[in-house]
Amino acid sequence: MKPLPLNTSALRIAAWCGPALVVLFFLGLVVIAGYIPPPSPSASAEQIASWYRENTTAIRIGLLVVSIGVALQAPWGASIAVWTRRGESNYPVLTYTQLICLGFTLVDAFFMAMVWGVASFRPDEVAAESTRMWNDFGWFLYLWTWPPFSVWCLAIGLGIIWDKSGAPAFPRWFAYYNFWIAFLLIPAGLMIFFKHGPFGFNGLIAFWMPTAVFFVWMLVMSWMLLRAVSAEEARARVPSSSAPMDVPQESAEHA
Amino acid sequence: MEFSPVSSPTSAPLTEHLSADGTQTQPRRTTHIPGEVGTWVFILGDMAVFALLFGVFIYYRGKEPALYAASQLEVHRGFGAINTLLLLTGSLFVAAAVQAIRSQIRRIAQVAIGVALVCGAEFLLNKILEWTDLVANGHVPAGNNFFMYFFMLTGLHAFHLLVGLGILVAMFALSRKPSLSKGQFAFFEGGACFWHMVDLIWVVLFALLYLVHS
Amino acid sequence: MTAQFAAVLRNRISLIWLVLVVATLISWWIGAYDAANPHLGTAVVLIVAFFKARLVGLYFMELRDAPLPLRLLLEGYCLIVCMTLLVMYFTSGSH
Repeated sequence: MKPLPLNTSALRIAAWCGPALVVLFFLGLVVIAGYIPPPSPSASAEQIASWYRENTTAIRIGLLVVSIGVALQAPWGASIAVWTRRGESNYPVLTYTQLICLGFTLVDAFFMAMVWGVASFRPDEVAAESTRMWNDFGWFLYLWTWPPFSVWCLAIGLGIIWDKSGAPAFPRWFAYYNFWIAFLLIPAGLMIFFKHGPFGFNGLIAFWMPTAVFFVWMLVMSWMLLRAVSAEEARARVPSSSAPMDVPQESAEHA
Repeated sequence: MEFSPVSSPTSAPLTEHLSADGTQTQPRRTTHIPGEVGTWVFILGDMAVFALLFGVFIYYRGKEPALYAASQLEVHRGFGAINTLLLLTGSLFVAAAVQAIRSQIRRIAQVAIGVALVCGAEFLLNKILEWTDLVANGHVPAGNNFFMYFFMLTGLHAFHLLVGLGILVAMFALSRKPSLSKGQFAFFEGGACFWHMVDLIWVVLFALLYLVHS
Repeated sequence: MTAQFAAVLRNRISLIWLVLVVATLISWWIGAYDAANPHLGTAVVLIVAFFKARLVGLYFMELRDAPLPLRLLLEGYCLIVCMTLLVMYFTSGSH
């Protein structure tokens, strides 16, 4: 079966979902709801509860914006996996790994917004300790869930290093950048041990560094995705020899 | 693609350049990126993060200098010094392994990597002994700020060392091949540089955690 | 094979290792020694540490023979981080 003609519209839209997500997260978490900068993990239950009581509407609107942004992660992550798939052999384990990690991290981010939403639902009617615990829960969903994010980056990086297509979508150094990001997310896991200082969930090392690094990664990755699309279009315009190996046709048995 | 031995960079190759009319021009030094470009994106990036950690430590130390100084006395400098010597020795042998592979003396490379593995494993063993000893004396990460940093920094470093040991094992496997492709040799060199980075970070941590006092 | 091993080790790398070991021992001594001027001791220990780091980078990581930008990044790292830590140490509260 002949390969279908190249149509990159979906790929481009998917790539732009990255910056869109970053913008929505920034608007939602930072500007509107005010979750960033994070509250102190050693804040009293009453302090947290009164924050929810005094800012209820802003929190709810901000979280709604975040939950919309989260959904954009789906096409964005899928488009990364597509490039990995293009370079993998008939056993696309790195592609599948990325899709699974993508699925998890999307659900994780969505639950983060939802759990905080629940905290903001009846702040006047429940005990302050309950509100604080739901607040904590959201921070766990934000930071404690770093491993699938790291595995996602590792799979992307390995997909680049082991790209067999002859015309890799991304430069090799970008693989090492992904490995670096995978490492940098690790300190987020320290947040469970500390309620103050740089390793707490509002800390420089456990929160700020992974956050900054992750969202910059999303922007850099989005840019690389657009570059990859352009390169693919250029290759398609040049006849025959410089085209990469055809992507193996997806038969009914493949995922 | 077959790898051909490159002359050892400890005597950096100087290639004499003959111009078209046969007269000699300035000899040009050839440069070489160990590993590949991406290796340094990773290594320098990781070093940058540790630099951030160093700065954070010194910053918070400055707020409670007496506490930090007193707590530091509970830490055994000997452990730190011996561990430093272990990693330095490991680095020596890793560097030797790289040179051996370049000269295609695989057996030497294997032995050298083995020695480095032993050094690294001993470091981790010492680390565990040291930590259990501290905890037994009541010093835990949540104890005071000095010990929080002590355990966190040495812990993050130990994680890197573990990864380094894994890389050494991969390098050992490569050294058993009759010849390395260009990509494989780049991994070998890059892996060695990762190991040296672990050593470099420790050298600073040893000073900060064990030696700096006021 | 021992002769080959000795040959591989008998070069500049081993000399650098020796320098590093001596520097470590000196630092250890300074760290253990309760000097009248601990600030000087700290400064020396930090400077020696980054001097050691520089040696590891230049000779073990072979950055001495790397393209200049890469080498400068290492040298810059050692210099800037060392200076920053020293400044932070000396300007911190009451020490």
